[in-house]
Amino acid sequence: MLGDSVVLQYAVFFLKAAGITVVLSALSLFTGSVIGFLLSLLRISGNRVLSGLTYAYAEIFRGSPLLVQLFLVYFGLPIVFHLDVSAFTTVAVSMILYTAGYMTEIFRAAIQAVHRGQWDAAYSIGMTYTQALFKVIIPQAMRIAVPPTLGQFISILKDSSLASIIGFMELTKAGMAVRAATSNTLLAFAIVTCLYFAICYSLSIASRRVEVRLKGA
Amino acid sequence: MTGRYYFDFAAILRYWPELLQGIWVAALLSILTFLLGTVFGIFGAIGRISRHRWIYGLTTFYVELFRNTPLLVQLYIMYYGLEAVSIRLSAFSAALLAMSLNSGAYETEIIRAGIIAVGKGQVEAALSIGMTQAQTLRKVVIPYALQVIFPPLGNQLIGIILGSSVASVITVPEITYVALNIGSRSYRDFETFLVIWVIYIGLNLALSALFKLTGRMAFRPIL
Repeated sequence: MLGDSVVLQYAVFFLKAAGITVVLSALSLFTGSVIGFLLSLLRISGNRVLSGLTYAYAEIFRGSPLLVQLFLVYFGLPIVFHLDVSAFTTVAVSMILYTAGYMTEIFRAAIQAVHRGQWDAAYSIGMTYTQALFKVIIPQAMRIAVPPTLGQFISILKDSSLASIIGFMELTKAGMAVRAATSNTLLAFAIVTCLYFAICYSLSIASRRVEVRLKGA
Repeated sequence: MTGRYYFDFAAILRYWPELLQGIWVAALLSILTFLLGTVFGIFGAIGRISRHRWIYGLTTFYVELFRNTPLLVQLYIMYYGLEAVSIRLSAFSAALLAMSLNSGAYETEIIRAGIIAVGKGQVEAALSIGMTQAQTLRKVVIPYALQVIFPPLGNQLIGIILGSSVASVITVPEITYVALNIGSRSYRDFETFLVIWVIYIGLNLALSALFKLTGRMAFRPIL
């Protein structure tokens, strides 16, 4: 009986940790998407300076390791900006900045994938640039952006494991903690692997289905 | 607020030989990972287009398992997990094994897509003008497949280099590990990480440009 309750305790611990991983990733995806969407509008604005700056932003954050960005925020916020922040804030800030870089490019590509004729059609019925963009182009671009966004979600879920390195208690850290407490390395790693796989693989399947449906439409 | 922060990059300048050493280890690890990963990718791709149910199932399981779990967890398993069953790998070997299996899963899909892209028609056309199977493979299938897989493989190598920073966690002395080390001795963690940030971005930009250039030179448009 005692054994059962210990097992139950660990099960609850792992599931909670998996929940934190999902919440952290969803928050990063959502906030990163909002920033990425705004940046993508600047990117396609036709303004050379704004377009160049957003391009540089995307290249810098996609072209360097998330772990390095995580350490930059980890050391930078307290030392340079004198902000005493929690591990969660550190992790969330770096993951949002990182995700925003990817989402900028996803939205840019989606907007540019909408057929040129849609712009012409919108202009020809007297729409302004803003009207054409928001009423014709972006609704279509959003559909195109769904599969890569789901792909990005899977990436973030996996990348969020790096949060464990600066001590944030998510799924990977939970595995390391249980490994240390029980010295049952293999079981701890097996559970962590299965949980990540269950979350990411179901999203992979969902992503493939959405892609097939969008192609049919 | 306790006053503004004074940057001191000079304090970490004297550690440059260590940084160079770290770049060298990261480069070695990444290149070996890419080579080994390509071998896994070739076998994986053959397995994924095999009609043999077991071979197909096994390679599909490999690909999905490694693409749907974090590299960090894979590194821990190869280092601490294998150690638990008395297989002791050096940090470098464990990182190489985890990273190349990880990369191999992605390369499997890249190479498979390249092979599928060639299309039955081209093979049939080559055979119908009297080419042997070997000639068809060498002169039609492989050149075209290479052209298709070259850009994503280049991105994969860049992905490997960025991912190699995670190997620092199991004490592989690559750039990120060296930076943590220098930071703790010089008390200039932030500057150190700014420096290696620039190094990674520079490496990435240089390689991207190189791949674009070689791609353009190696593959005259076939289609």
